[in-house]
Amino acid sequence: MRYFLFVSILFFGMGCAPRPYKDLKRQENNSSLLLDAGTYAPKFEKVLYNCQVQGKTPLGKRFSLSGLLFFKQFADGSERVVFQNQMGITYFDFGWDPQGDFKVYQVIGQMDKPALVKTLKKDIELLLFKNLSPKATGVFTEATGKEYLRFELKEKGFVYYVFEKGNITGIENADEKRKVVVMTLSETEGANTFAQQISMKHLRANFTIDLTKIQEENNPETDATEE
Amino acid sequence: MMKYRIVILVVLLLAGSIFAQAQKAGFSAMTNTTALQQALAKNAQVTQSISSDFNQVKNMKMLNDKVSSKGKFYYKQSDKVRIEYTSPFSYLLVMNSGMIAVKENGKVSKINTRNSLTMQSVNKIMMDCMRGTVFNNKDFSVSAYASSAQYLLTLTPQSSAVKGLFKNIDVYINKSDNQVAKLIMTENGGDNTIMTFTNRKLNSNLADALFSVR
Repeated sequence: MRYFLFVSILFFGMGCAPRPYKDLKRQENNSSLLLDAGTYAPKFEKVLYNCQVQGKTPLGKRFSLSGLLFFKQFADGSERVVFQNQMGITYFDFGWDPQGDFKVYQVIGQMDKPALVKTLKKDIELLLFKNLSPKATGVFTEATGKEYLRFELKEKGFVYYVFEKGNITGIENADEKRKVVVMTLSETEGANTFAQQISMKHLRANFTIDLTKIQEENNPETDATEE
Repeated sequence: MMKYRIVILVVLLLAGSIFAQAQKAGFSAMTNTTALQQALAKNAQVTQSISSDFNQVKNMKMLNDKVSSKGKFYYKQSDKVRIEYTSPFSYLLVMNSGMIAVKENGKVSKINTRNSLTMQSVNKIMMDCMRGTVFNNKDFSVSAYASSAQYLLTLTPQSSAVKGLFKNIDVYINKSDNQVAKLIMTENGGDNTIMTFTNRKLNSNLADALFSVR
C-alpha cells in the first residue's frame, strides 16, 4: 500500500512537472531564421578548444578530465573530432563522412561505453548541425526577445538553437518532458556555433563540458635528432 | 614457379619493412648497454637540477595535421618534476615525491584519472632518464641504439595498462652530455607526440616552491 501511494505521488508529480518551452510563441510569418540545417552547418578548416569535463558518477563520486578538443573539416565535407590530453595522448577520435555517417576511429577503454559515445556524438552533432531534420520545424520567440530555432532530431527529441540579436547564444536539446542538454555559447558571430566559450550542461547525466577556444601559434618544428 | 617467386618477394619486402621500422635511420643496435647504463647513472649523480624549454608537437597521421604547444620543464633531484605548458594553453603539472598535482584555470587538483597514467608514465621515464634508471622501469622493455651523436632508447610497454596508451616511447639522449634531447610517444594508432628539449641549464638553483602547486 505504501509503495502504491509512493508511485501514485511520483506519477502525479511527474504529470504536474512544467513542460519546457511552454511559454514560447511560434512566429507565424516566415522568419529569416527558417532555413535548412545545411545552411547553418559551420564551415571551417580546424578549430581547437581547451576542454574540461567535470561531473559525478551515479554513486556520487566526482570526476574530472581535461585536454584539447580538435575539430577538423575536410574539403569533401567530412569531419573529424579528436579529444586528447595535454601530452597528446588520444582519448577519442570520432569522424563523420560526407553523408554524415558516424564512425569511431579510436576510443580509450575507459570511455568506450555505448551510452557515453552516444552522448558525446550527440553533443558534437548539435554543434555541427548534424543528424537533424533537413528543415527547421519552426521559429519561436520568448518574452525576452530571444528567438528559438527548432529542428527535430533524427533520433529522439528536438533541439532549439537560441539567438539573441542575430547571434547564437545557446543550444538546448530536450524532449517533450524535460531538457536534456543546455549549452551556453559566448562571444559568437551570427549562427557560427564555434563560440569563444561553450558550456555544455548534461542535466540528466550530471556532467558538464566546458570549452575555451585556443588560438594556435605557428610554432616552428625543431628536430633534435637531426645531426 | 612464378607464384613462389611472388611469395618470396613479398616475404622479403615485409622483412625489409620490419627491419626498417626496428632500425631507426642513422642508429645501430647496441649489443652491450653496460657502459651506457653506467654513464647515465654517473651523469645522474652530478645532475642536481635541470631547467629547459620544450616544444611539443602532436602529429595526427590520419588527419594530416598537428597540434603544437610549448612550455618549461624543470627537474630537481631526486624526484621532482615540473612541466608547465605556456602556449597556446596554460597547464601546470608537478610531480613531487610520488604525488602528481595539476593546476588549470586557477584550479589545483590531484590527478587520479586515466590522464594520470600517461602523465605518470612520461614523468617516470623522464625521472628514470635523469636518475640513470631507465633500464630498470618494469613497465617497459628497453632496446638501445646509437648514432654518432645520440643514443636512442626504445621503450616498449610491458604492462597492459601502458600498452593501451603507447605503442612505444623513443628517448633520444645526447652523447655529449647524456641529457634527454627528445621524447617521441607513439600511440597504437600511429599518431605520435614529439617533445623536444632546448635551452637546457644544469644545476642552477631551483627553489623547492617551484615543485609545489598552490
